[in-house]
Amino acid sequence: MILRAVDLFKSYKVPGGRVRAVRGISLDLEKGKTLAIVGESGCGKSTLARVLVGLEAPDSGTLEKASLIPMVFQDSLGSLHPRRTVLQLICEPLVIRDGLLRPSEAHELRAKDLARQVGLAIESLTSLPHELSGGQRQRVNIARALALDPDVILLDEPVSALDVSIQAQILNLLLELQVSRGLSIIFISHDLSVVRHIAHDVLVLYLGSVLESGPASEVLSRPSHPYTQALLASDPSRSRRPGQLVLKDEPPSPLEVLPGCSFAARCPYVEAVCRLEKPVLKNVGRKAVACFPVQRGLQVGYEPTPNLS
Amino acid sequence: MRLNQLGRLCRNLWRDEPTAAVALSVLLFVVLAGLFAPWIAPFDPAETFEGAYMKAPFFGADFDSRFLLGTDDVGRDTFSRLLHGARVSLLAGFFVAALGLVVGTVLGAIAGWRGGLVETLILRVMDTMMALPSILLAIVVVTILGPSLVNAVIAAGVMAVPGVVRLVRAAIVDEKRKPYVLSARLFGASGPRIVILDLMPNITAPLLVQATLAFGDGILNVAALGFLGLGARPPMAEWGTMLADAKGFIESDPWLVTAPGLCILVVILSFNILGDHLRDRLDPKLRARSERV
Repeated sequence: MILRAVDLFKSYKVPGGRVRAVRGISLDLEKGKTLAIVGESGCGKSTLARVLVGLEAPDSGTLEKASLIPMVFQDSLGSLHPRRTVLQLICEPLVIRDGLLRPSEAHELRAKDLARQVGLAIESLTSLPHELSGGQRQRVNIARALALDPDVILLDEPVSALDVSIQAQILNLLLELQVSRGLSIIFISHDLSVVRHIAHDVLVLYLGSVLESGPASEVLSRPSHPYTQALLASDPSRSRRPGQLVLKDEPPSPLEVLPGCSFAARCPYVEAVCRLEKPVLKNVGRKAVACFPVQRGLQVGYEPTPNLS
Repeated sequence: MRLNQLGRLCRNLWRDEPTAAVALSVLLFVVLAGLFAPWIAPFDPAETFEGAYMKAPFFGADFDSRFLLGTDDVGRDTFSRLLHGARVSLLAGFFVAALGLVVGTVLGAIAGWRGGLVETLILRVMDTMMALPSILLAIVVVTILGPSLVNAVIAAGVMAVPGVVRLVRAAIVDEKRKPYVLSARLFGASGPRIVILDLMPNITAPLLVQATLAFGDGILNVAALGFLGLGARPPMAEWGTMLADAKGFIESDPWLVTAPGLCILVVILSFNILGDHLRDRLDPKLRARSERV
């Protein structure tokens, strides 16, 4: 096990209360595997990311990690210092590690090797970030993330701002690097087609807690939780089938803490118990699902008459 | 080659911004005058000429050809004193700006980076300093330290601090949430390292503007303290002190106050014009606006 988190909690004080962004999330990541974290915006994906890499300390819960976890951000331009060349930028993690002010020759050699591995041309080493395309910038960010030979890297929506053709190139690069280095990847995204392409395991997040987790093939092709069903149905790349759920309204405010299931307010299968008690993750087949009806054996989703009471 | 480029730069400046070009020339002239004062000045600034009291400048009836700008009430050559005064004023301005910039940058960086209680504390102290009339504050500082040129410079430097603190803090608060700073933190960079190596280079432009304005303000404040008798001590030639010495004769011999007064006016005006010009030049938002108009 390369990364293990148990029962992480994180909340922020805001005017008007506390935002409970992460509410008891546990996860395991194995060597050489990719774990995707998916959910709507505001579900706590980014807060979870910041806690996992150590930018924020969790309020409670334990986090075991083998080494430093570098992070690649969605904002490929903003995550590079505007006045440094590509070579200096790739050297930066090494320079910081060695407590130096500027790169040594060994650093530059290593940076050139990394640039080659991520598919950056030698000519671009002297460029400034704003002179590069979005795809090239994300390659620079990946090269930086790999500079210290980490076991795990975390990517927060790394391809969401890129053209579809470039997205595929970056995803394939990640897959190659994973195989050649045995790299473990945490991949945060709202784009399910991207996740399908790269993930081994998927964690579905809603209002700060995990509703469903398991192998990507299972979760994405045979979703059990009503929310996962709805999320998949909202993916425009899939054709909609009759009887599928459609997500309406916004999720409830993360300021409120309701006693029951966090999805109860929007769930067509909601039962009395869902509003009173919070379901915990239980194994259903090869997945873990936090939903009372599903745990009882109800097949939700493609059935023509969901319980609308 | 180098000289050619410099020449072109000057021509362009003269064409696009004649006021800034004039201001820059005036300042260069004053710097050279101050630098070479001991060699240009015909006399020692403290030397008194018996019998040559209150001589008029070259345009007056009572003109003595030895003294281009006349003499004061104890027979000292005004021209020589002004040249040496330029030296004192420029040095004073330089140290005021340097002091304000260094202390202000450090405090501003700490406030911006640390946030929380430290930031509140630093900002409230700066607000208090800005709420007091600056010359009053300087008088308090000099009263504590005792009147001398060095203490006047320290006092004027303290007055320059709040502006720099606000500038630096605002810039750091803006930058520190950007992903490049977060990723430097993830790679283990310390706060001081990020502030000095990553953030400071991004705010040199506004700091340069602030430094130019602080330089001018510094000269003015040191001269003001000199005028109040809290700065340079006689017989040192300093423009503010010269003004103070001559103020008793403002009715009978007005040129005695006019000469140092004009020097102060022209130098400070030049610094402010240059500062404004730099601000327009270095702030892309302002530049875009002025081009549209």
